[in-house]
Amino acid sequence: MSTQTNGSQGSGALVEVKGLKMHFPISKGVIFQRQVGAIKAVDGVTFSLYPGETLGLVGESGCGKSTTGRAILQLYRPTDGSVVFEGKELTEIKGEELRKMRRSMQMIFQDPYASLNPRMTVGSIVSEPLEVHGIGGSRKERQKRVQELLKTVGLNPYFVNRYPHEFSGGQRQRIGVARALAVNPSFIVCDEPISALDVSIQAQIINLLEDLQEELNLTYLFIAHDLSVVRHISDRIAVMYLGKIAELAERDELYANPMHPYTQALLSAVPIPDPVIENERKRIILEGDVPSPANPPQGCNFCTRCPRVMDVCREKEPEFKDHGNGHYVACWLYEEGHEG
Amino acid sequence: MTAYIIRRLLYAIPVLFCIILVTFLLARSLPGGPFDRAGDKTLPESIRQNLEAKYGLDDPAYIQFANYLGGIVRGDLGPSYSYRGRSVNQIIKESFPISLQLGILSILLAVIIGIPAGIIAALKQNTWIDYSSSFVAILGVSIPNIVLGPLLIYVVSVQFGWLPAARWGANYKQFYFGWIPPMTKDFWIHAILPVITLGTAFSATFARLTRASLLQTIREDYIRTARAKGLTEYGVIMRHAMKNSMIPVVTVFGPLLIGVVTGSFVVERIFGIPGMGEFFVTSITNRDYPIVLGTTLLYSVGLVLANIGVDLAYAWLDPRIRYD
Amino acid sequence: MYKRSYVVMLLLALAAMVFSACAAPAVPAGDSSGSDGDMAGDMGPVTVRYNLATEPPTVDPALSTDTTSSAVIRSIDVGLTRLNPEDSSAEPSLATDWSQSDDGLTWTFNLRTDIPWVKYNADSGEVEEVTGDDGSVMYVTAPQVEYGIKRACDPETASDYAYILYVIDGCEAANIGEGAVDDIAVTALDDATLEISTTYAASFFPQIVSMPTAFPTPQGVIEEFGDVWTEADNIVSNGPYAMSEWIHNDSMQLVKNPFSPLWAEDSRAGNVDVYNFVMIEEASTEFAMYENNELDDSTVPQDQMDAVFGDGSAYGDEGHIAPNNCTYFYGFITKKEAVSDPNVRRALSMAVDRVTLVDQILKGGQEPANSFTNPANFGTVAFDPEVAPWALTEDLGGTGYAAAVEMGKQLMADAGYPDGEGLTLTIGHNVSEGHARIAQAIQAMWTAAYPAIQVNIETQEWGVYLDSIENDAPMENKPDVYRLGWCADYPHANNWVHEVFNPDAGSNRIMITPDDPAIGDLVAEYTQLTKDAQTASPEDSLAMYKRAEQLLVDEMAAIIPIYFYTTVRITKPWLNRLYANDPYFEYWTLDQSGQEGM
Repeated sequence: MSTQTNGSQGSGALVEVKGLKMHFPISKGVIFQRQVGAIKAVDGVTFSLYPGETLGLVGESGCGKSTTGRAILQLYRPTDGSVVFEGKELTEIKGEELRKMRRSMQMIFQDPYASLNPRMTVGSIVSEPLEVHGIGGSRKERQKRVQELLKTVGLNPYFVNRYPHEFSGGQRQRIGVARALAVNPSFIVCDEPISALDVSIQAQIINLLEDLQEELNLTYLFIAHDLSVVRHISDRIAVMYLGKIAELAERDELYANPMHPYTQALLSAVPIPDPVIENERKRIILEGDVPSPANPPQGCNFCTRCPRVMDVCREKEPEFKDHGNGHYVACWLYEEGHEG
Repeated sequence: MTAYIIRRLLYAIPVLFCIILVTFLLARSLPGGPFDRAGDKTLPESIRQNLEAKYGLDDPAYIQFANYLGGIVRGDLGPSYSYRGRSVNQIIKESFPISLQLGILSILLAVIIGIPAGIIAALKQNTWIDYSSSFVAILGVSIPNIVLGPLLIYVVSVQFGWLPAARWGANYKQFYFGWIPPMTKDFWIHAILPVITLGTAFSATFARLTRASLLQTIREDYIRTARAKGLTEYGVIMRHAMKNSMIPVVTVFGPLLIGVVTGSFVVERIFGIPGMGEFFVTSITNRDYPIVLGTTLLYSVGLVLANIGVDLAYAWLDPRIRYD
Repeated sequence: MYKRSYVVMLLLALAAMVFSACAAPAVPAGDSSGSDGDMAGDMGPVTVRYNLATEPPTVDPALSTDTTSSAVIRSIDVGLTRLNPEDSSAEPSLATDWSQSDDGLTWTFNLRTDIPWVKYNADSGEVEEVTGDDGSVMYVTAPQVEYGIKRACDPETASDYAYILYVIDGCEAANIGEGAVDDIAVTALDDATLEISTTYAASFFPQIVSMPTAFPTPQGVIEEFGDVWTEADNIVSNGPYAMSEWIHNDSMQLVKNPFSPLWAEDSRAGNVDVYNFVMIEEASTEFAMYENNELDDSTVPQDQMDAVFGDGSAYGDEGHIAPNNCTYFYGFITKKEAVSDPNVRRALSMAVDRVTLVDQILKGGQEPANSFTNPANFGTVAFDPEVAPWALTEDLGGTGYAAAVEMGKQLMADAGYPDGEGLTLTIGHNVSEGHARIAQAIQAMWTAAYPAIQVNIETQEWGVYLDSIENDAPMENKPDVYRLGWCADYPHANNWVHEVFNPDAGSNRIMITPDDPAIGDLVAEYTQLTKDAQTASPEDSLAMYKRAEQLLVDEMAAIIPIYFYTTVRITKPWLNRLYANDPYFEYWTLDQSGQEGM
């Protein structure tokens, strides 16, 4: 692997995301189209991923977490910001160079039904990445590699000639994992890989991903929409709201000491497997809807729903900064002179 | 698969029976008969009776229908009333191959132009390439053959004298196996203008369908998967998007093909091509019942076969579809 | 199994089309005239490229009803007589002369016996004489004419035009199944003499036998091949040309029959060796082929009239307008309430501005019509100012349109419809752009002359339309005024005033009856007159036909004659042709150097 680093980061991070923005233009006009606005799906996101760790990225639907994952992998070209992977600035490379980079970074998708081409066999789905990257040797060797991969993800290697529709959801997600693993990536974005699955299957896939991480020294960006799922697998957790990261901390720190009112609200909704605590616990119910990312509120973007909103929240955006022990939060509550 | 095809063909029999029955009744419910007149002139009653007796039209309708069905079973579609001495079998044998040639060439042209144009438009969505190809496609669909044909004749033949103005370059006496034309220069120079005229509208149809369907397909998750795998854009389209987006195209292709190969009245008339299209129209004006029935039957059989073909193509395009 | 092999064949065909495209030898463009060579001089056979416009529905003389079939049949077959292209009189053809018995009922035809039956030999490319079993040449003789006529009358043949021969004694009875075919009064006395008896003394009988329906036909060939005896491979014929090829709905080729005596005997004979006919129905396409020098002659589409005939036309004097033996007319359904008054009908006829219609709408050189019978017929009174003078211009001795409208207004007022007040009419015509233009023009003319009139136009598909104006059709379905055209079967007034409108003999769509309260007496007079004229001497019949037309057009005013048709053609300068009602292909001459020079 490249040891070359550039810029400020000598921190040993595998992936370094800085000020990432992904705006989708809103256009009007029939012949001469002009941009009249933008959906700010991701609006300035900064974090790093270290080799072998799992970063959980949590937020409600539409908060931009999947877009963040895709923008990191350059499936969308970011509007602004930088993504440095293995020392390479991904936003600046394209074409063949980028295509080659895809060997090292892969993605597991949310919907195991839609993300597999219905008219390709399992064998060709898994072997295609090998083929397009010219690895895996001869056809026969590739065949063997596919069977190994299927075995690795816990599928019968003789399934190679079957089509995706012949499998259950969990089996399909295993196919998706095998496909992502095929090219020996170092970094995998897991985009809600279990949210479309039955609860009984979810744990299997989580365990599989954990085992593989250990075995192959993988780095995961694990995207999920609730905190209970990521708690198990993540080393660190980032909470995202309306295109921005509200809070980022070590897993245990976050659960023990949630700082951002949004994180607190989310955690209050996580069921606790103890009936006594569960009964006594106070739930924080958020009012109102998530504002449109095309027109986010001024100031702190959570100010419209925050139970502890202050005047300053509506005026100025809080800074996302470290409040000790790598516990980052963007909230005026913890700024000097603003504690409510 | 074979069992499935056989079953489908068997199912087609009652359908065809109903089509024949309805066509038989509809044709006869039209006011006026085949022998009421010669040109502008009314025929005396006695003459009409002789003609009706000769062709069995004086029998009760159910006997006529039974006779007709009997003829079909023997492969005999009966005599034409308006072309004395010619049988419907003979007329179809002479004219259908020509419509088939014109139709196949036109559809080929439409596919060769339309599908790539649709792909390019979809890939360059909302760019000037997309807009101009959509514009040309809309133009192609909206310029009727009755305008395009004479326009091509006027410009290419009359003004520049590059190509013959009309006619088909081969006739039924020259066809191999009764329906493959000799590939002479004469054949091709006569085919160019009518094929362009007929093919343009269809290529526009294909382009629009391909574009719409491909745009839908490339938003599918597995296309993103393919990109994430590291496929080239070309590979993504060709290996993953194309076949999946061809289902709507194939769906219209079957009936369209049958519609075209059984003859285009307008194009054949404009270019003086002795195809089958004319008979669909004139047989009704002439109340030539056997030709009305014969052409309808041929068209229906073609449609049934085309639909079976479309269904088989589905199975090839999408492994989730299986026929047992 | 059949269907599967069908699909396989389809794929094979595609493959063959693709592969053979690469290997095909280049063949020069142009018509595939099968018989170049033998009759070629330095420049090859003299060839005319002509558009028949449609597939001839038949070339069996007994079955022919239309002009296309007739044009081909008259070129490849001969009848007892033929019509003079100038005046439509009967000329000798197979019959060298004929005589009428004193009572006028029996005709004796003397035939020449030196016209051989011929057949085109596709292997040698030659027209050959047909020989019998003993090797002797077979000639056209009286028994074959007898066979031809009897076959046409035979109900088994189901000839559309058999009724034209009902004038022959026994033909009608046989045709309607009430008599034997053998009893039809046509008798070959010997090879060279034919005797025919008629039911009345029809002075126009020599013209009737000029029609293909009465032609001699080859019994042996018809019995051998049945319905398909007219295919190019089977047909034997005897006219100035022989059919060498017939590609249905596409093309037909006629080649000169060198054994026809016409070439040596008829001073009008032309020089064309080969006719390559095509069958292009679309007039604009035909015209484009003419312009592209793929045809030597063409019709002129309506939208090219000004280009061809206008001042400084780029086509020089290639355009030709010739009279055509047809009349365009509107008929009144006289039993409909709105048009039951003859004064109303006359007023409407008077208000049709025929000159404007011809000059502004039709533009094809048509003649405004004041009579039903076309000028090309014996007994016509066209342009005679004593018949419906209000339909004629002052030049022709008529009143002119302005005066006609004044008369019409008076008549309309007398009838109780001042300015057309209270009068509502429907014009019916079959679907056609041309008919629609005329109907709209007439609607406008009537409204201009009688401002309060209400005129509606109804159109129907041809078959439905004809059905709705049949006499037995329900009255409420009929329009008040219908449009039709009539073309002569044979050029005689009898074919017009008697066969179309005589209440006893014709189709009489105008529904005139002798018990009509307004015109009953006139109807009776008309009925008797047109019947008596059939047997009157030609000289006497002239006055009778004139009176009949006065009744039909003016006094009963049962129809509105509108115009006499014309044939509008454009012909290459190197082709010298006739523009008569039939093409007379045998009289055309072509200057090959001009044609090749293009």
